[in-house]
Amino acid sequence: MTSEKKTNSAQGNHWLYHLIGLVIVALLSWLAWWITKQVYSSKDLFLGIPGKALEYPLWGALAGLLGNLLLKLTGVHHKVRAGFRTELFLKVGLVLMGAGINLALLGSAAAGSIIQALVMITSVFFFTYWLAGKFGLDDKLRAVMSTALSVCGVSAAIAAAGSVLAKKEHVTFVTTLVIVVALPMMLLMPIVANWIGLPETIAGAWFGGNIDTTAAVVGAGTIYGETAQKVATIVKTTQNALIGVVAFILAVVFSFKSSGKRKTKPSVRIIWERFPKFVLGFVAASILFSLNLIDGGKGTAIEAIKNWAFLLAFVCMGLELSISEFKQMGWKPVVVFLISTVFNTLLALGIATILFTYLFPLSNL
Amino acid sequence: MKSRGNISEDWLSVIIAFGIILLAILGIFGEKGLKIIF
Repeated sequence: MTSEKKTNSAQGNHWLYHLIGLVIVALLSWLAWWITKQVYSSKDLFLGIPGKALEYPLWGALAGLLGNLLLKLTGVHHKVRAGFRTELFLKVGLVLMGAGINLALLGSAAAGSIIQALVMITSVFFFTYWLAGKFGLDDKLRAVMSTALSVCGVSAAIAAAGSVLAKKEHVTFVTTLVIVVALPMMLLMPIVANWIGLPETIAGAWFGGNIDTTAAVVGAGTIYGETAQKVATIVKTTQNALIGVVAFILAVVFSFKSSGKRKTKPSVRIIWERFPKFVLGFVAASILFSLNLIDGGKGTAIEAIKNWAFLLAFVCMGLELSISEFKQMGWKPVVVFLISTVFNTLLALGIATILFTYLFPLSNL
Repeated sequence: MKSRGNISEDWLSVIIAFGIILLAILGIFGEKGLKIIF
């Protein structure tokens, strides 16, 4: 074995480790699905909570966390994690979801979604950037964290880091924070929405505007109801689509701020390069569904595979969780992230209520 | 950091999803073919 091959094996880059990782994800997903089926029919699981309230995103995340713990205890987590493809499974599920969404719904939700996305991205970005400045955080970490909170979590953090040439530790830290905060929010926000008595459309818009990572948005929507899942996905997808614009603006701003060799070279091409292409697949599938050329609606095989794809993504979220990065960065960025999350949550609730109750009501769903 | 890292994954997700849709249209998945339950 050459030294290069040895390094690849140690880092888990060998194809066999990818495959083992994928098999682990599949087995844990099956376990989560089996538990979901067992508890779903129970009318009183515990403390009066009906089994139906505990949807598959919860069991997927818990199965992932259990797998995460076991793999870390046995010391193989770092080798097989290449098979944990949260984003890939999620995007496959989202495109398949498009095959069950009518263009009329997409169109009626899109106008409110675009306005909500513009207000949320601008407000949350500048609030977080300002707050992080008050806490004395590094400018590049401020940019990565602000983008992750205001746009779409993990993928936004990666895009922003590319634009401002941030350190790898910044990206790892922010993406860890995103997942650590998103997992409990995925479970708690539907409970709070139910407690407030939000209709599914408003709740969906709230989840889509507030929860950072798309997988958790879909999870919260799924727990709350079918319409909430659709609206949450449309709102979040609109926000995702704007990442290219944010990445371009950041590259321009940091090209003026930076000096020396590590200077960014802004180009309008970044808008297309960073544009999440799965959005095109989502819209194309919706067009085909609206023309009655395909059917991914309720009870179809496409819908079942979509649910499996989402379940695989939720399991991967649990498997990828790591808290060791917190020790390196200290408490200040964590406090900034949490305060900004509270700001994001309250603002999204207000904006979603105003937009989808008064300006763009979705009462025809 | 590779700036194009996520782009291939994005297109891959679209290809996989439309592959699944095509198989469903051809009847490989669904009532007449392989039944997928959730």
